[in-house]
Amino acid sequence: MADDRDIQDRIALLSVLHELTVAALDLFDPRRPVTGFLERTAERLGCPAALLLDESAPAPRLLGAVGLSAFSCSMTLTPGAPLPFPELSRPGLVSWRLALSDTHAHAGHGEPAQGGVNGQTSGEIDPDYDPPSRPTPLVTLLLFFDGEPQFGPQYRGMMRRLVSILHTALVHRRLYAHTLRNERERTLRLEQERQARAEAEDEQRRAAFLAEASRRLSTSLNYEATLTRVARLPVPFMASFCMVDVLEGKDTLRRAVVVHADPARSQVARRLERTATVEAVTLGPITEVLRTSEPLRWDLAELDASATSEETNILAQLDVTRLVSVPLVSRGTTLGVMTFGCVEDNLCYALDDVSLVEELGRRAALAIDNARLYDSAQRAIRAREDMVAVVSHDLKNPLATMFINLQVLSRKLPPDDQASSLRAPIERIQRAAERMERLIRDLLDLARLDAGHLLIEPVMKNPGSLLSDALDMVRESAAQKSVHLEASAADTLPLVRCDHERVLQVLSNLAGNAVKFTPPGGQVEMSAAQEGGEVVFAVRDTGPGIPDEQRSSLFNRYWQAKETAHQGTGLGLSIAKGLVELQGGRIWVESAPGSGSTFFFTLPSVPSTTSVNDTSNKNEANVDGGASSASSASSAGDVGHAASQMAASGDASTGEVSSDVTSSPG
Amino acid sequence: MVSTQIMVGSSASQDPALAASEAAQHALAQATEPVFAMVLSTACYEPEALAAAVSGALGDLPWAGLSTAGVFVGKELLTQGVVIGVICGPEVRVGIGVSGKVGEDGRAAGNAAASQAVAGMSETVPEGWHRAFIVLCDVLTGNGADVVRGAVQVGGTGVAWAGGGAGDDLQFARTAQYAHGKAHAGSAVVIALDTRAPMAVGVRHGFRPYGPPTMVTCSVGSALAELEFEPAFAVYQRAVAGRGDRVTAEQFTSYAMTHPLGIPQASGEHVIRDPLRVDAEGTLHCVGEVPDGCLVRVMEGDRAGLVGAAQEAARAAKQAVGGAIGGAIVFDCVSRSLVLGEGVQEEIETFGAEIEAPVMGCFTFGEVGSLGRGVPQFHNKTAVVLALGA
Repeated sequence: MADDRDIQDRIALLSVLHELTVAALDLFDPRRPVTGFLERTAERLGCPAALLLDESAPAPRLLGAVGLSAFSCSMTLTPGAPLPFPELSRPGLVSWRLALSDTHAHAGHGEPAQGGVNGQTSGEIDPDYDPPSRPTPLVTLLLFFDGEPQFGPQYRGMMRRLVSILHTALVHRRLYAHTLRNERERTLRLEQERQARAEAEDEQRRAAFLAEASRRLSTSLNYEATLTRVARLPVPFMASFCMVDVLEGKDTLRRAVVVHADPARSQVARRLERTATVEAVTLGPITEVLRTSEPLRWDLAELDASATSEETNILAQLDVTRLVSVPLVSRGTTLGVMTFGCVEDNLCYALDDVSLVEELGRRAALAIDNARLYDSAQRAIRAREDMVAVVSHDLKNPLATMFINLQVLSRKLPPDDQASSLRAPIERIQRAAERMERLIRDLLDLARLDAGHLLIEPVMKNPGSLLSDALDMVRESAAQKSVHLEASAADTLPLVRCDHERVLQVLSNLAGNAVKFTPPGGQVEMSAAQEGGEVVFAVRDTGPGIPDEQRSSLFNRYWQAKETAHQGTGLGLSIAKGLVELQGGRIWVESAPGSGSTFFFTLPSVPSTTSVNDTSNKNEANVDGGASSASSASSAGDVGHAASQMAASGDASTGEVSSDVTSSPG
Repeated sequence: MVSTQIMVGSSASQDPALAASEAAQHALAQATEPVFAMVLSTACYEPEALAAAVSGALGDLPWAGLSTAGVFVGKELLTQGVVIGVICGPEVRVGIGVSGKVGEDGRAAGNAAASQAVAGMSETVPEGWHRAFIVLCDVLTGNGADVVRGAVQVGGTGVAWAGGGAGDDLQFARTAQYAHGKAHAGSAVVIALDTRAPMAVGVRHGFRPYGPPTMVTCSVGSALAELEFEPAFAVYQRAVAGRGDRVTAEQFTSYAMTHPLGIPQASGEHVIRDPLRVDAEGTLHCVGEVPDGCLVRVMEGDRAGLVGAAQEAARAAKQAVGGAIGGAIVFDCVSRSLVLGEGVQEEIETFGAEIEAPVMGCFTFGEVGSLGRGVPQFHNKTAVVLALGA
């Protein structure tokens, strides 16, 4: 019996030692809790409590505990005081204290449960516990027994052996925890880098896609072509299916284009194209997006059963089940809806990246809006051209009749003062007709300028001859107002390339205005001078000058000074500007109130090596159905003409042509 | 002055409503100042139906319990029935906690259920009071030992620990745990009981080691795969062959009923592990974990030993109370009844004879208690007696 008892004891010792050794070695892995070892120890040795304490300064703490309640584990330990745990305050408890800090750990036999420790407690060791600022921990294993342990003294030796193994395991546990932590951080960093890279690549792809989308959308301003391009853009990169609904008018929604990635299904897809009033639209999500101007993800299967319609059936036939609709909004107005659809089980970028489809929708809306505006502009241009044609044919004819009949009347009038009462009204009618003719001509010129249809015929002209011709055109009106008129241009001025009639139109407009605004006795001078590659023409008057606030509006069409309102059409300077710029020049004014005004314009000069016999060339922006002026005399002829004029004035050296005209009132 | 008493009632009706009504009526009829009801049922009832019926019968009285393989009250053994024990007294307080998913994390489930149970009670046992924890858990889906460890992390030692694993009719299919008026599955229930009178637990099994010790070299939870680097069943066969016995895989379940495994403790005691079955790889599947590295021995038991152990458990509990007993709750392993056969009646009567107070009990799949004075553990084939002082 005694032998049998001895065998039983040895077996128990070996079993407990082996089991606890395995449990201690398990602690190499910081992912295993320390309480596992403590539980095994407490269970096998019959301990009501087992604690692992780090008693090193400055703040020792509980590394693990078994047999203490949660409340006890939360208690703060007071330095130098007995352990405060209620479970350990029972009389008769015996403790074993085993230090792990060196290999010669000893067990305190029969010691009462005590121990001074500092710091806070916690219920479990932190597997990453690695306080670099701490000295090597002084770890103690405390085992408590309810009375004297009922097993042999060899267990103390066993525990000494075990704490040595435990100490080694805890040291390596810290090292391994450090390694695991580094590995975790490295993995996290790699994952963050991978994610950042993937996001950057994703962003790059999105940007490239949007850039390509913008490029494609800008290749044409044709409205229908733009709608088709919009629908094709996302297929198949972002979606398997796309349809574009556009609002036309207030209440009509036209499904203009439907595209499917599978060409074999395109015909079925096109059956979705239709026009309906907004109220009659059967796909609820479309009207929802129209109403809210917010994107909407929707599933065909989740549509209200009552919404079943031909459209939902077609979508089902196309296997398009998951969709997202985005509003097409431009300049604050909803133009329609763009819907992307995905075939079941296929990857669908559109559904995953609503911000991308929204951006695509914005760009598509802009393109559609631009196409619409272009379409409207084209219609407006066509309407204006039709109007120009009407005006040129239907208004000019009655005017021509008026002029002819006025001439007839004038010829039939007696040549003396007897018919003065008849002559005055005829002259008034004449002036009114001439005014109307000027207005029609100006309107036609402006229309042609706006449409880019104005034809000019550049030839090389002598600036002096141009001035001389312009002088002749305003000579009479200047004489009537007793305004001194003169023109000057140096012989050495280079020729200019211009349309003779049109330049005369500009000069006569500027000179005419100068005469109009110059009080009697004043002076109007026209001149030309070379500046670099241009010849600068100037018309200076001694009128009242132009206030600062009016100068910026001078070349706007229909603007007129208050003083001479209704004396012209208000289009002259605007037309002059258009004519000068069409011929490659610039026009501007310098003026100050009380100091008169000088209008300048430039024309490109011809290089000196250019022969004066070079022929003119037509400058046609478009074929113009209206009249175009034929090429006038060559520039050589113009030089001769100017020379003869200068000879007439007696001042050949400067080429100055002056005319001092006075007139008597009345 | 009467401090604590257990008033018991029972019913063998197979109708859950009638069974609950009869058992509750009988228990409540004798109870003054009822505080808590312990409900033990067999597995013949639909758990939800029984829970509803018991709640209806007990009204506002807090109750908890479990399904088991059999119940008894006094000398009466019910293979189908309900036993309700009402704990009453002016100085009794109770807290009940439940947590699901023992299969996912038994330790966390035990911890959560115990935390819930003590949530409304004082953090430490008040001066002059005593505390007991009763742990009831599902062991078919989870590790009972982990549930106990989790609960102990909340409750600590220095208190009485008792309880058992819920059972069924030995189909090992589905068990029920009851708390807060509802039936739960795969759960842990913890009852915290504070009384003025002492409470104590006696734990004994009565099995003796006979085979040579062998080292566990591969085990995962309650699956014992290898002993000394060989398939566990092969080693088991050699161990019993040393005694002249032969056991095949088909015979293993019935043979192991009287020949479980034991894990040696320093005190010389053994914690029993009940192998239920062997699989094709020779792995022994036990009720409860078998730790890697320990030495296990084949145990043997007989009727006399088991009944004697029952008596010792009851006596130990009574002696630890040290005074009059108000009642006792017994968690007796179902496999003991299978070993004892008709002798289980003798065991049941032994409990009552020793306690000399109202006794209610059940046959569980595993038991909770402390061998000696140490931390509580999860046992098999063991009798656990929780005695409440009067």
